[in-house]
Amino acid sequence: MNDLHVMIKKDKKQQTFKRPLFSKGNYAYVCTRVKAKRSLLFSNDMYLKLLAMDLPSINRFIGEGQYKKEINELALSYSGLELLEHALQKNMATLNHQILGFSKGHLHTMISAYLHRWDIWNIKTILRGKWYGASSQDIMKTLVPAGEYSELFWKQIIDTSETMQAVIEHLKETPWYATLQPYMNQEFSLSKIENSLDIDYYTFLLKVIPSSPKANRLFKNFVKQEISLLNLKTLFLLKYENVEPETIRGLLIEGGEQSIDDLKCLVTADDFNMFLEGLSHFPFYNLIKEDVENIQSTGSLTWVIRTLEKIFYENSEKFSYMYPLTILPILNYFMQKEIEVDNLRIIAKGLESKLSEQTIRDMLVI
Amino acid sequence: MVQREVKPTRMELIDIRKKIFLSERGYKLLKMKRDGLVLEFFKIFSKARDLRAEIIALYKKADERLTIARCIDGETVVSSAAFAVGHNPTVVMGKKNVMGVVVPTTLEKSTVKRRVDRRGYGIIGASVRVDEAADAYETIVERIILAAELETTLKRLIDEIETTKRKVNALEFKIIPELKEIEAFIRLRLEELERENVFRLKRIKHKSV
Repeated sequence: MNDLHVMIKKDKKQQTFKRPLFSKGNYAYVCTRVKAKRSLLFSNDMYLKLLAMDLPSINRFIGEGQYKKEINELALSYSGLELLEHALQKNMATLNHQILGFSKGHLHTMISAYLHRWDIWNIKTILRGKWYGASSQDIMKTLVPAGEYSELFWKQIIDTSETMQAVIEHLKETPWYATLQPYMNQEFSLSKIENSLDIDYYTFLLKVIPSSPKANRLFKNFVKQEISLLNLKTLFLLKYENVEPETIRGLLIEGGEQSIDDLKCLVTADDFNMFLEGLSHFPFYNLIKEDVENIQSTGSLTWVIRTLEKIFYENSEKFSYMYPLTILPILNYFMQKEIEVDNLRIIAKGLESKLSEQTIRDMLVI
Repeated sequence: MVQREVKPTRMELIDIRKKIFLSERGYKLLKMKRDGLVLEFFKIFSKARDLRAEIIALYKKADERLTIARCIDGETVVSSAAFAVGHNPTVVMGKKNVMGVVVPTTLEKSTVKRRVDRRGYGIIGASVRVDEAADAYETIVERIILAAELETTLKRLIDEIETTKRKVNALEFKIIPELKEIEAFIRLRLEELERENVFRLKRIKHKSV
């Protein structure tokens, strides 16, 4: 445990060095490096070409490209599609750490804050694993160390913590301890902890992003859009099962494009049909109208949520080129990389599961 | 074979007749029980068959949902969500009597299906795909519990029908015919004894005259 704290403190010292007070950051350098990395991303046409290939050809194609190093590294531990999935994630994690490593000043702070989403994911999955009593190897398989903290950091926590309380103790030096600490002496409720972590993450992110210049305002808007997407998703899920409004209110995140008051009519809707009726007054409704109408026939919210996610990705793409030497192209790169990882996995797994080409296309973000 | 062991007495004849009466009554009752069990079997069988078809359809749907979750969210997210399931579903079973056959029945509604916000993981960061897959599999498990109850009942009924059928057949083709044969043997023997006796008395009377 002491080693871990020394490691965190060392990390903090390095960050202090990288982030001198009042420094805005090395935007030009990071944006140029990111632009170079962006050129390596797969184009939309490439996904369509991959769709026409068979599974071994896809594996070979991915294994011989930019993911070669990760595939070779992980080939001893995994095989088949599991290897592909872990290699894609590892590559994304490496790139995220590289970009975080050469960013400085407040830019570093903002990038780090954005990438904390992966740290939150790792905290959640470790707590779930410990709750379930899973082995260290099984928990490690579900980690995505693409956030601020390294794989080694998470590995040490998993190996040295027997209980969930011990995991929280190990996270004392992280910004998330304040969120986790109140649950130390209570009866453990995973869902409450996870919801608190998500709410605090977005609150923290909104606080970290300054309101000027305009590029940062756009970043803030992007986060607000993401919060709105999450709130809508939560509303869809909970209203579909007629969960009481009091419970729903506690699960909505403040600070979204639509305020909690704006969503009040949706929260208090008597049933799911009334909820959809209320939703039809929102400007984005026409974009999801077709999927909403299909909910009754399919009995699934998957496609309406997927459409909302696609709308969110498309919106974020629009402003990424407007301010070239700001955080926006960097942010867009993170998103594009994540989309690439998701799309490659969707194609490979979709083909393996013998899903129709149309279903795979509907899942892809292109 | 049996006849050699039987004493041809009037008491034995009365006893055998009682046994025949009892066997025939038992035979009729067992036959009625067998027919009743067969009727009950077919009633439950149609339910179990429909349920099995429903489970197959539900499984296809659940499998499709899980595949979509694995594609869009990845194995990592699916496995992590699975860790959050903290409790095993419990089923409280009881007993029920169907025409003398003890069959299992669920006493309390199973706790498999849970509301979306009670699946263990946080709802804000949860994936809709994973959640729908979990929901579909929870539905399947509930139906499987019901199917297990019905199919166990069917198995017990089949066993009982088989036993009853054997008993009916034994009574119909072995016990009752044998008893009737013995009855006939004793009756004939007694009649013969009667005739012998009459003949003997006549001889004595003739000698004395």
